[in-house]
Amino acid sequence: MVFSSLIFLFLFIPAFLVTYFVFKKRNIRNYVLLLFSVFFYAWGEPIYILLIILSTLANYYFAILIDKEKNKKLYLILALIFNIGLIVVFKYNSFFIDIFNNIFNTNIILSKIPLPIGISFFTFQILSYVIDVYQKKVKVQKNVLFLGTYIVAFPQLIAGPIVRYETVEKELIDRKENLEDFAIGIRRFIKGLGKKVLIANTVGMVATAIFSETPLVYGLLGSWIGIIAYAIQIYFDFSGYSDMAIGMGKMLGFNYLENFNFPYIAKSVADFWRRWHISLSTFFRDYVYIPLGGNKVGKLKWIRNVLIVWTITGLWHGANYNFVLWGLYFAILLILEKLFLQKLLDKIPKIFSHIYLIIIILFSWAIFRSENLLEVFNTIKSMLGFNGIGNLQLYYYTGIINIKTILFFILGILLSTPILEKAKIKNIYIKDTILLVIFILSIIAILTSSYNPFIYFRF
Amino acid sequence: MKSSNKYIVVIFLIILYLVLLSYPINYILVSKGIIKVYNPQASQISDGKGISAKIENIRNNLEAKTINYFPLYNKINYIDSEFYIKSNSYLYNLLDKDFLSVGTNYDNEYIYKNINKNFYILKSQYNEDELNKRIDSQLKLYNYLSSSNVDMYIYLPNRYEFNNKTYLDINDMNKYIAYFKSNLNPKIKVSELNQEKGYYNYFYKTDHHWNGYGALQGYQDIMTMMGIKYNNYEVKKMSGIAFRGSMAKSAADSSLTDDFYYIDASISCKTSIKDNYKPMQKLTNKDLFYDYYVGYYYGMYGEVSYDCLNSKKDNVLILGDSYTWSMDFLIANHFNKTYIVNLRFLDHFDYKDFITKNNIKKVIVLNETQTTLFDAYNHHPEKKVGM
Repeated sequence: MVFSSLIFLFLFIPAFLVTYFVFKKRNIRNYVLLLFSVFFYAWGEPIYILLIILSTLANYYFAILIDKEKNKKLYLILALIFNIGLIVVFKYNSFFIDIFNNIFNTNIILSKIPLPIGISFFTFQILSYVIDVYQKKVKVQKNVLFLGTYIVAFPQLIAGPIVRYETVEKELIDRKENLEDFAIGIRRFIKGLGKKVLIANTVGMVATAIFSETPLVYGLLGSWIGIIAYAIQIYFDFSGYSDMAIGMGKMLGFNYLENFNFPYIAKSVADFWRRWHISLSTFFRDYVYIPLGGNKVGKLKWIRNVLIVWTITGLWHGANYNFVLWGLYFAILLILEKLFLQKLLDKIPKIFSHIYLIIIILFSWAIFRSENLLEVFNTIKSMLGFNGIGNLQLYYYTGIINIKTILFFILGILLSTPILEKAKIKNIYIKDTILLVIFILSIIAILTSSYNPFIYFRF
Repeated sequence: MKSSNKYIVVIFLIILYLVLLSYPINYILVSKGIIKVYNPQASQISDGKGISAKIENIRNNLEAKTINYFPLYNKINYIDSEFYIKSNSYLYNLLDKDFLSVGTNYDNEYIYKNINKNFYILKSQYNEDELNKRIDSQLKLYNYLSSSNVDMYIYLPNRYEFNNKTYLDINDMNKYIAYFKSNLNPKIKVSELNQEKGYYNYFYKTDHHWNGYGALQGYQDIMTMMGIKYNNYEVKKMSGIAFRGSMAKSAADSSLTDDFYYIDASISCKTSIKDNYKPMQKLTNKDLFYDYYVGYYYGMYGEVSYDCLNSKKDNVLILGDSYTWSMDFLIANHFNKTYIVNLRFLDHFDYKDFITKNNIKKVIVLNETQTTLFDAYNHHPEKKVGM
């Protein structure tokens, strides 16, 4: 089930809120949250609910064994093998078999296993819990249902942010839901819904329409407009989901950490990654980069550490070569920035360092959105002007040029900056009325975009 | 407790629960026929078996229902569509562009509105490679069909936009028609509706079919192609009808309407229907998007025949689609027996056997051009005729 659907907004949420708030006891509210979250996941992936249950039970016992037994390291290693094994089996099996076939010239074919939704998110959450128990940062959770509630809580289950157990450890047992937090949560949820439905979906259609054509048709102009549209889409889509998750968490008394902080105003790659998908970059920093030695090692080892972390970061996003390339692209840029580029960026006017970052990021999305390396090559070739200017009729033919797209394209660019934060509206009623209008417009957008009118066949 | 917090919480919850409560009410009202849902979202049916498929079907069904029974569903769609068309028509006028994209239809073809002529047009959903593949496959089909001892005639009424002045070259239908003609068995005669002359007169503004004028022109062209003197008929307008055709329906555009034109001619021959397909439910004309074309001609059958009891003349087979409905009876007047076969509604059609058994001397192919050239709606005629 997705947040931006009528089922979620008008059946799931009303039913959940009534059931949740009708009970006073913390335990029961947690169980209600658990039960609804299981249903939420099962709506899209009925069979894989068993996978989450298995993962929860296994990690529940791993954590208890780590806490109790002397040979803690052994159980930690087993937990790591188990969790990473799950991801490898369900997410990377065909990727690794493909590599094996290429290296050894074999032709092994496995039947395709559908990817369980959100596996990278919930597995990383569980890992953070087990590792934190090992490092004694958090106490072991003895109530398996509470641990389950943490893992499958529907606000953050499918698309993050990656909520660490330490963030919600206390709130699982003792949190206070109140009207103020509920109102803050609603505001945040609507903001996220608007970002996703109004901006990301509308501008996303531009990128999809452009890149459905051949490179010779979209050419230089199309590739840049398409990539900018994609940059807007991915930011508003992902940060919109995070806003909705954080908002719903807040409505229930949870305080999830921020996941985005206007990444497109960054002035270097390092700065960008402090602002983009913060929960993922801090996860890799704390659980991979620092344990490898971080930057407190020799230069060569540090370069190795950066390459390892960013290869894994790339792979985390998907089982494909372009994601590995994408990760390595950032690794190289981060190394260069650390070695000399950052000093140069600090010296030049801020506008140039900002332009540098935007160009770097747009090229990175060209790698990211492609489905294979040939497509990466073609897109970048077009961005560099080797496929001509492009056919301008494309923009009319595909319906890209229309008031709504132009409006949301411009809004997307503007709202990628903290412009609204600066222009603060003091009157809360006006602010809330604007938000409610956004909510209604979002509902209309959901309704009309799913409008599939031609029920009768062509005669 | 701040009253400002109460304001957003209360309004938010009112919206959620009002919509929730409206669902069962809307459901009852629709079931009782008090309100209608136009263009409802179809529930996708999974072909799979087992529990997963069943769950998927329940899910799809419920998702479709949350859309279709949403309060003011029709109204919201019309307002949204009207706003889109009006605001963008203004923009396109400023940009000096005629064709506004208004989305796709059920077959994923692109629909555009010519904002100056207030006329909808269609574009193929396929890319150039796909079109080339399909046209070659169709050429094989017709060359196969013509190998029987019959005279074959193909007529092409093309509802797609007909030049490449506005759009990408891949949608230039002229080049495909030229290719089709040059690669067809030379003994097959081909003629097409002269669009340059009468495109905006021959087709409905809002529907993908031709109107009475187009159908009459088609009849005259076919007769000329066959070397037969055609009869003269009059086209009449049906009074009191505001026809919002398939493309207006897809665009949820209730503002643009067509007059309904038909050829004033009676069927004097004996008609029989071999029903291989359950006809769609006949709608009442209370519906805003009532399909007058289907409602008037009502021809959704696999096989229809006319017997004009004129044994001195030939028997003819028309392989056609809904375009034939509005004028096949005119053709029938010139022959002894006329068989109209719509392959879309048949699982199998033994073409060669049919030709022999019914002593067919002439075969006319009369589909919308996209079907004839590309099998655009995937009816797979080559499989059905046992090629």
